Amino acid sequence: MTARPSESQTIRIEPLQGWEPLKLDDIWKYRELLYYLIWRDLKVSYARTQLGIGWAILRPVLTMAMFTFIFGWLTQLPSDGIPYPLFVYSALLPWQLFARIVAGAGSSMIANENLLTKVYFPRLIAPISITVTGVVDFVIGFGVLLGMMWYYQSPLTTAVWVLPGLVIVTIAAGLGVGLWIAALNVWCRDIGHAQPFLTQLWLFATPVIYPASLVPEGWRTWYALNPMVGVVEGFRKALLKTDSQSDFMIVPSVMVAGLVLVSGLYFFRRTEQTIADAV
Amino acid sequence: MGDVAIRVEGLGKRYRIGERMQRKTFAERVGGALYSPFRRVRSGLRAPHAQGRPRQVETMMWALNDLSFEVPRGEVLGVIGRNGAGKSTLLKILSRITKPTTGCATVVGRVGTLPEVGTGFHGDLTGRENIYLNGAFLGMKKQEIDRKFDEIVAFAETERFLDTPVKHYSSGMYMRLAFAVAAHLETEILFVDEVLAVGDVAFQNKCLGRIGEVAKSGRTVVFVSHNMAAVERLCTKGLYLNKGIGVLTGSVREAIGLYLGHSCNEVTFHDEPLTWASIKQNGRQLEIEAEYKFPESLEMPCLGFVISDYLGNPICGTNPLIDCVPCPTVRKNAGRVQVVMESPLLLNGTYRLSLWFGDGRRDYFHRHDCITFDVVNMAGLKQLAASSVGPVAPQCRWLFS
Repeated sequence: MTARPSESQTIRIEPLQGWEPLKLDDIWKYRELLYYLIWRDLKVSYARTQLGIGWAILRPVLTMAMFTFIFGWLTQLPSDGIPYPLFVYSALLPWQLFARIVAGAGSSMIANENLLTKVYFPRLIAPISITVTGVVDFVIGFGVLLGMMWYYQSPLTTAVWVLPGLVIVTIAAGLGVGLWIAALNVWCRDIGHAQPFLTQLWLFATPVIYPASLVPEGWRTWYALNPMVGVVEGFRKALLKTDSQSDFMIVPSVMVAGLVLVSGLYFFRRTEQTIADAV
Repeated sequence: MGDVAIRVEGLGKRYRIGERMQRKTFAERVGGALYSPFRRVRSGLRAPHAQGRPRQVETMMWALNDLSFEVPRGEVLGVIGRNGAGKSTLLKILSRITKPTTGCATVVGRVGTLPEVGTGFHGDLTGRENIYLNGAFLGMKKQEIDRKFDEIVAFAETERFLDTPVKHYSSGMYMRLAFAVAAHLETEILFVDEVLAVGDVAFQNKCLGRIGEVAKSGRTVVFVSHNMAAVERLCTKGLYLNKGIGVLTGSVREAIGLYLGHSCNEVTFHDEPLTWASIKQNGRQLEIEAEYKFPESLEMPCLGFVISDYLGNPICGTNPLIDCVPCPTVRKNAGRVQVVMESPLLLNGTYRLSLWFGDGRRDYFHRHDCITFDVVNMAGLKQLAASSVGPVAPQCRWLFS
């Protein structure tokens, strides 16, 4: 005979109440599943490739090479006096983390459709596991950045301590946008098709290939509402000592990222109850 | 809560019919989602009694309606009913995959769900890795899987292929492994949905045996199945669902009786000489009834039938001419034919009925496999499997000397 179940294991099932509390402690209860999902995503995405984890390095490096050729060399875009490869790579790292989380979290419900309709787990686990795999790639790519800084003899400064904070803002913004897309995507698949296009537009609205100093003074306030503007400029300032106004820009970035994340969480939480009926 | 493992009170689930077909536009969706809290308030203000009673009745369907029951700890509840009766919906609500529309349910204890086998399997991962991944999906802890690992592998009989990606497995191996993981779930409450619908007969028997062991170990099991024989063998209580409305009966035998009696094993035909037909089991007999309507009166309303097994192999059949039944005294152009079949006795299983109708010289109507029906306990409790001895029970006299 099994032991008598404790009251803490009592589950109460009730109708949808509209906007529900987030119940983030549920994620903690399912942390083992989260761990396995992260491990599965990492394993599956690299196990079958010849280069394996090398793709985590190649992806940003190839993009950097392409951007350097087109924008640094052909177009001669200004880069605040920093070597263009370093200039663009330091921005591509947080940007690709953001884009990866948006795409991965955005499609996480559709991709796990057959699971969602068969077993229960807190739905938020799927986008979170994608986020973690994105961070792993980011850390690997960051190693390359350190190598490049050594090559260009650009020493690290004490401002490096802000980087984890900026990564958190990136994750918050990416996960927030991704959760909105994931929830909307369940109801309307058009969103899934529009997402890559949206991300591309977003790239041009972020100072990745050009410095933020190129944006006219009067537009800067609006420009800074894009949370990735503050993050990217902050990255450059902390790593490469650019004299950008990122201190001013980071405030709206943090606020918008937080707002997007919280609204995304609530909207996702509301939709997750009906996902099994809709996918 | 005493010794109740599952308590369901007034549970209901409403689906919109045709939601998939006529998708709303994006704007309507977003608008609807944002507006719904206000609508709730407004409808509450306007007509409190109208809550939960939707206006667009024709597009709504209650998959479950006002269902209440309790399952004491240690009982094995068999949930039966025809397709669309709400069985799977009930299980989905209890295992928290979908939310109910009304009512509530309380489940006390750790819950495990045995869904379609192989849920969460990933083809690129090896058998070993999938055991852990699948176990995590089913709610097992790592130590639990570690402890059970050898047992799972032995049950699945796939030792040699543990480090092969499962996409290279044969479908049989894949299924065995998937079921093995699920079968070793050690939760206090287990939900089982139609696992027996897959695999060959030997595998099905193995699954059934394992569920039987689980049931005997004092855990609470909710078992949803179409397989009446399995339900009868495993369950201690029965819940019969009919169009979302549940009748909880004490014994599983009663529930099966309800299912067989209520189950609308009948069919209506339009613009045909045969207008309606039904078949039902009544104890050790099968009763076939049919109504006919013909332009001219008939000397002999000649109703022919053939019963086939689930795969379509015919078992037996006859008609009044073959049975040398005298013609009815009154010639009629409309009426009812009743056939009571006392032998052969069919073994537990699902069967199909094909019907013919004519005047004895010509057939005016023929419909193949128009009704599918179940037979339970027609030939008594002790039965061999129909898969090994054929579908009929022989009536023998034995002499020993």
